[in-house]
Amino acid sequence: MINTARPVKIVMIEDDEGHARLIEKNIRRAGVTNEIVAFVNGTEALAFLLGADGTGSEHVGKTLLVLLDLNLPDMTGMDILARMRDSAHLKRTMVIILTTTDDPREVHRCYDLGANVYVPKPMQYEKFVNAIQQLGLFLSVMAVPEAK
Amino acid sequence: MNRKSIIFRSVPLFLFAGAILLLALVLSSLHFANLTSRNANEALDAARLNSRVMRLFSLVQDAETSQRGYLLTAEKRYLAPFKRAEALIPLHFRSLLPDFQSIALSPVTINRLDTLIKTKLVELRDTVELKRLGKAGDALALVESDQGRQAMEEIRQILVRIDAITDNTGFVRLSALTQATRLLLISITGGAILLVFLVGGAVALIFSHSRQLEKAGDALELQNETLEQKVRERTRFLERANRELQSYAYIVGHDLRAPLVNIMGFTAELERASGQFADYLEANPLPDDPTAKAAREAVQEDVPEALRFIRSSMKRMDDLINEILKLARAGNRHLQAETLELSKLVAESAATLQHRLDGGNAVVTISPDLPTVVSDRLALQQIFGNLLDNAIKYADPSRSPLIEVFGEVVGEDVTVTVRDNGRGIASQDNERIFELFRRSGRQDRPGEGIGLAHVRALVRRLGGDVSVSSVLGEGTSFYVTFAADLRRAKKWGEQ
Repeated sequence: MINTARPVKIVMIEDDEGHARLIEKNIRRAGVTNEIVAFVNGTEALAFLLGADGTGSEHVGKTLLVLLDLNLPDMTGMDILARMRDSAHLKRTMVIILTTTDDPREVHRCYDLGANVYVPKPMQYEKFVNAIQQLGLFLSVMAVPEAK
Repeated sequence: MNRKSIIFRSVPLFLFAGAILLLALVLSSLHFANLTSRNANEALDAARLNSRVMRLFSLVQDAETSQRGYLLTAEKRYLAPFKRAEALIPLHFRSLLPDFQSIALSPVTINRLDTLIKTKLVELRDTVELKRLGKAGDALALVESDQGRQAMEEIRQILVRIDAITDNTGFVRLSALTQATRLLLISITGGAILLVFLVGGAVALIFSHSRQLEKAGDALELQNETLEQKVRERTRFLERANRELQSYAYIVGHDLRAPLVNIMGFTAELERASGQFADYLEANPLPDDPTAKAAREAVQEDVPEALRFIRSSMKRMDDLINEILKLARAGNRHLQAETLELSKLVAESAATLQHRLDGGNAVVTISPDLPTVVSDRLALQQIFGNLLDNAIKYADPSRSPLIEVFGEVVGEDVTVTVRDNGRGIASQDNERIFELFRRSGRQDRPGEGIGLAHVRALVRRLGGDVSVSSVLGEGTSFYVTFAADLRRAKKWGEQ
């Protein structure tokens, strides 16, 4: 179901390798086979997203989906989100916030900054798996806008 | 400063002495004024006596003149002055008697004068009578007898003496009057000068006193300001410490969650893997040797058991973290001050626990006199909800639970007491029960050791504190004290 002509590339920004591994495993189990690019800090992730010229023009014509953790060692996920929304090429890129915080104020701020989806990492592992797999299913059915 | 203060302290003494002196001057002035008036009166009396004595003499002369006129003319109209003088003279003389006594005229002289006047009047009357009877010669002979003339002469002498006496008295009195007037003037002048000094001294004293008061007031104000400043700084410091503690709790809770997700996640992975292995063993039974048996036991019993303990510990840790986060979030929540009837609010909190009350036959009595406060509804609901919940949870099974809630206003604070007849708390645990994750007594009830820590954090945010008194086996009283008006309490904290 995923756009086969231009396959969606999943960009996972997550500093906790364990979390990253669990997310990847469960996405795969949900049947999602798309390429996953993982970053463990904000600086590298931004360098990849915005490219050498800092505008994000490198990704024009490609389709990205960003899984973003809010607690990163060098910056917060919100900084990355804000930078992406400022970029002319990445402002419509799908961003899914995936974080341990379920503070309502943080949730609101992320939506205000332009996050598409906010998924709290639930403590009960079954719920977590469920959430990730739902996300995988979700990824397989939705239409993702490509970068312009 | 010391010398000055001695001077200032002696000023009232000077003023007092001055006032006494002034009083003496006023009294002496009064005395001199009295003396003046008495001397003036006496001088006046003397002058008046003088003129009255002259009038007596003039009446006697009138009588004599009139007699002579009659003797010469024998005309009755010349007798009119005689008749009048004859009637007036005794009256006049009598009226003068007290005055004569007052100038200490001897009774002999007075009698002599009386006799002389009477003699003179008899002589005059006799001559007039003789003339009227036509015996002019006899009348003339009586005049020529010199009896009347001598009497008249003596009368004049006596009266001149009296005149001299009264003149002298008048002079003496007048000079005394002058003297008294001068003294009066002096004493009034002295009084006026003293008055000026006294008023000046009093004014200086008042000035110096008001200056000292002002200085003391300034010093006090400065002290107050410093004190307020200190209180404000301390409050600000405490607020900051409290905020730091809360954000610390938040960060700890939050950051503990990340590894927990991993532990849980990979535990599940492990479970899944071990499940797969167990399934494989199920499908392909191992030969019956000891190592195979051990492997089967490990997969079927040891691993699931280990995973079960890991899971229950995780669950417990997760609950604790959630409670910490709840506490931190409650601490960050913006308090909303509104007018609340405490009896109503406590009754609502009790109503939410109704199912538990019914189960244990518990009775909750809420005093209808609980004060009305301006405070945060949610915080108070949580405080009283927790305390009531504890009272029910730790009831003594040997008696039916009785919970009483009553309160009073103490100054700007409200104290609400929640008293139960439950199992009580050992005295060494009275502070400990308010600490996070600490519990007291038999651990036979579910709980995280969060409730009272939460209550204390909330009450402190409402500008107060909670304390406890308890007798083990008899019951417990919690005293919740908080600001009756949160807006005022907040002002202190936020300045």
